[in-house]
Amino acid sequence: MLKLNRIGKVYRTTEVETHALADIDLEIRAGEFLAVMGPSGCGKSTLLNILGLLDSPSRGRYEFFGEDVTSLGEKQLTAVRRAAIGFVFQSFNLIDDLSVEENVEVALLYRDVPARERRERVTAALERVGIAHRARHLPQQLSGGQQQRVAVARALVSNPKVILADEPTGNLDTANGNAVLDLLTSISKLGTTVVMVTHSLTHAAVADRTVKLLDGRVASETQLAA
Amino acid sequence: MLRNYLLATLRNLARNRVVSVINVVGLAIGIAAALLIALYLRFQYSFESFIPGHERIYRVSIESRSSPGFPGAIWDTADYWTAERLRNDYPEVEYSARLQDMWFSVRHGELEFHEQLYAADPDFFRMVRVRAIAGDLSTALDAPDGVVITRKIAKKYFGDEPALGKRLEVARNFPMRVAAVIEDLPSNSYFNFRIVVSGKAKFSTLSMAEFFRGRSGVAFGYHTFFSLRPGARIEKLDADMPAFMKRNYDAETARILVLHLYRLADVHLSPPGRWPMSPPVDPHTLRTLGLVGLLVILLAVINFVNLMTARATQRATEIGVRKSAGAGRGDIMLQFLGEAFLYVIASMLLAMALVEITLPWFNAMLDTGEDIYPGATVMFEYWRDPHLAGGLGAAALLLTVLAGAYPAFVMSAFSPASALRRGAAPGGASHVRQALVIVQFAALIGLAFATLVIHRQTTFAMNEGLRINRDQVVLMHFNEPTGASDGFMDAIAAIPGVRGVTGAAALPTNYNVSALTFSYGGKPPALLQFGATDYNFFAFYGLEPLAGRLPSREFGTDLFNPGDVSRDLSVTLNESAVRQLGFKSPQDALGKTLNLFGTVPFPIPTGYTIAGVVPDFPIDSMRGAIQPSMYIVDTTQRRILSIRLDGQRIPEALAAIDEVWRRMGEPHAVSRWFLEQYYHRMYLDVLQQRMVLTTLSAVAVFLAVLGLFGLSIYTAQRRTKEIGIRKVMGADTGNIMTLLLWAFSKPVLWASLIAWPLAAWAMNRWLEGFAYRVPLGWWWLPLATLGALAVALLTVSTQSYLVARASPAGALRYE
Repeated sequence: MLKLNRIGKVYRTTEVETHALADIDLEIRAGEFLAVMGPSGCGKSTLLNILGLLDSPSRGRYEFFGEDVTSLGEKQLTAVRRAAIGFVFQSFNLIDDLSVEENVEVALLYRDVPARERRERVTAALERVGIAHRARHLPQQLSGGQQQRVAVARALVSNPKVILADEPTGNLDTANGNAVLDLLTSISKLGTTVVMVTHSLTHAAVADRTVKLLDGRVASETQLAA
Repeated sequence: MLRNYLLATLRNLARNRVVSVINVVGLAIGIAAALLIALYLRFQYSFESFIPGHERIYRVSIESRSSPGFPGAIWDTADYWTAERLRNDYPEVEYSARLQDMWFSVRHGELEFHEQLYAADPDFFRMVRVRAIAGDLSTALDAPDGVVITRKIAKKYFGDEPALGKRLEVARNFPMRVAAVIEDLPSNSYFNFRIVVSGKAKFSTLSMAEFFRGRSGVAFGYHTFFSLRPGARIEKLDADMPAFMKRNYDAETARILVLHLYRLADVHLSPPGRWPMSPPVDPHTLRTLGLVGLLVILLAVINFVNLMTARATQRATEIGVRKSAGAGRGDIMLQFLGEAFLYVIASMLLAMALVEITLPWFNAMLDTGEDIYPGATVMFEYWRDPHLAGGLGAAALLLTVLAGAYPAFVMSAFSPASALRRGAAPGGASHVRQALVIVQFAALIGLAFATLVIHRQTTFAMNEGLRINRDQVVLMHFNEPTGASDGFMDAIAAIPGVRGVTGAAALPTNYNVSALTFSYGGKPPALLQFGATDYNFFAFYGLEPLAGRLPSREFGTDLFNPGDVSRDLSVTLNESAVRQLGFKSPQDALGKTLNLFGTVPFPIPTGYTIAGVVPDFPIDSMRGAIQPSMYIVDTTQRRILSIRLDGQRIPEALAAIDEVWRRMGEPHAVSRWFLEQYYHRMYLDVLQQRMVLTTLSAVAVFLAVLGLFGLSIYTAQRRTKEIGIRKVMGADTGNIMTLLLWAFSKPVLWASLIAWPLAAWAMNRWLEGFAYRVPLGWWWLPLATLGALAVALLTVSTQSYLVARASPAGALRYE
């Protein structure tokens, strides 16, 4: 379970203070597929960054599967992230200088996985997302949908407890977007917690629950009808 | 993991070829320049290492301190008796020996050449145990007819035949037997001997002990060396030198003369004296070169760091992804340090190739151009020099840390959240980049200023500082003390193409300069250099009297007559002598009669009336003060002839001069050289320093240009959106160019604030090593800054123009 208690995030520069999040209380069950929606600037990506331990909250408490990670140091956050979290980004964020299989392998490089096992898991992840035939291609040689499938494979390959997807279909056409969504749904059904930020009501509809943010706060929650 | 890093690095390199090449080439050039300097310094600090036991061998030099407050003169030689007296006084001394240099004709069959010979005491090669390739070196000089020659000399006279046991004839009169052949001396040696005859030979004054015994005064001219027994300490002898002088010389001599003892390996770095065996090297020069070498590599490293951190934006996404995948800061640092290491290795290999290619040119630049003074020969044999190979490896690691640490630190510090949000890099890195560019330009301005000062000082030393008209002057040397006869002089003067001729015992060189002590009234006696000249010597060299008159045939008292020393002799002094003797002005000195202090072993007047005072002119390096001097007219001591050519028919005039020599000169090959060569030899280290510094400055400019060019590419990429918006708002190409060029000009102006005080202080210190120096021009520093500014603007203007001309729509679509 992921548990946020009165989480707030303030960004400060020398002249401006921006309250990206304010008093967020949120619990996400293990294995749940949660969609997060809201207008631009409402704090969706900030929420995702905090959930993914890429950023630290300014106040409040965050429990990650029973462990209070609010005030962990950089090293410890890295360790938790390494062990349990996968990411899928809107702009794919593949490394241009690495091939498809090398990009996926990056997720295993920092986890003391032997080379042979890495290769096996990468192959399995690529086959799971249906992109194994492009293993040796560079990102520039793939379509948007294919790149995003690689990103999903990269998120999957480490068998994370949580996958955080920040508008994974935002740069894709309908068909590719649906394909990626199907992948995320199937991952969720196998027990991985998925938190997806999206602008699309249609895509949010496949989630177990949708949380709407407005001005850094939870404005509403909608449960998927059983 | 390493494979993944390597692949990312290599492919990134290939994708950004221009900047990668700039990085590698820039670093390689910096490394190559620094490597050449390091090899040269290593050469200079490795002198005499080929001589077993060189650590225990010392050289004696003499400094004369004539009066408190007045600068003394230094000789690289010692007195006739110094070697023997050191051996007698100190049981710590194992061997002592003298070398005396002479010029004679050397003949074998049809081959005859005018050669520099050294006569040496028999113990010399027992002390200086160079490698013999034939014969027994330790006994080679025991017999009066023994001669030791080098391999090159053996080849010159005997071809491929073995030289051992063969004969060489010296001065057409003295047959010598080759008792040993030694390997040619390496260039890292103060010694320059190629032919060494036994000191017992009749034509060497080393064998004239009886002549010198019992005479007062000091006979300079003997290079004196001694070795200590194992375990003995030089400090004991050093501390006892004043007492040694008092024990072995009269009170006046002991008061004036100071003996200095130098380790053999340090002799070439000691304060320059007269009659050196090899041109001196100024240790300040070496330190300056070392500093400049470090500066050049610093510039190259700054370039590298700047370009790597500028590219951080491009790698931000990758770093964010790796961190989100679980990479820790250490993993990212390792990745980019590894990348830096790859760059450094590539640069190091390219640098080694560059050094190999440029080494012949570098050695040619260090060549003295004279057979008797082999120039520095820098070697780069890393494959058989484990120290060098190890040094290169250590340098690669050090450079990796220097060049890679900061970029690795910066990039590993990226917050994954901000890195992934549109690849934003931390703003602090750009401030550091600016600071580095400022440091780079400060170094460039400093180097440009230093080069300007050294160039100016060298030009001054070789031109107006000489104070004499040295245009187209050929010097001719006679062995016999009487030198050129009147008939010889007339024959030379009659040659078409010869504008004038004069003679002197030594001037305008410092060969065979004597010194005598004079006094006036009750004032303390003063040691004056004593030089015999012809009547027209000063007029020949364009020297006008400051007071009184120049020597003239109209005055009978001007000519020295050894047959009549009862009358006073009219003499000419230089300005320094006037001051030394305590006169208020040159005018004040006129008409005063000086008296000789002490006795000399030949007839000489006791009274010397000052008839004229001439300006000081240097016969030594301008690092030392011009010595107080007295000049007399003696037409029987024309050992050095000065011949001025009209510059039109030089080869014909020289041929005619050689013909006169053959008809009327001494029975050996002619010995002549241009006066320019004399000064060139004297200022060799400064001239070479000027050349090296000019080259290094050019390298520094090139590195700065490379770095700026790379940065301008990144700046243009980074500011594309901003420029697009400005153009949409109405800015034209000129406005954009001004914006971009001003951004690159600011660091230069800031750099001046750092560079000016440091450079002025450093060059003032350097100039303090010269007794006579150019004043630092106030406009030189601004000129150096203007130069740096011009370099900066020219470099970035092309890229800035291309960016300024780009369509705003394209710029905004980029985003």
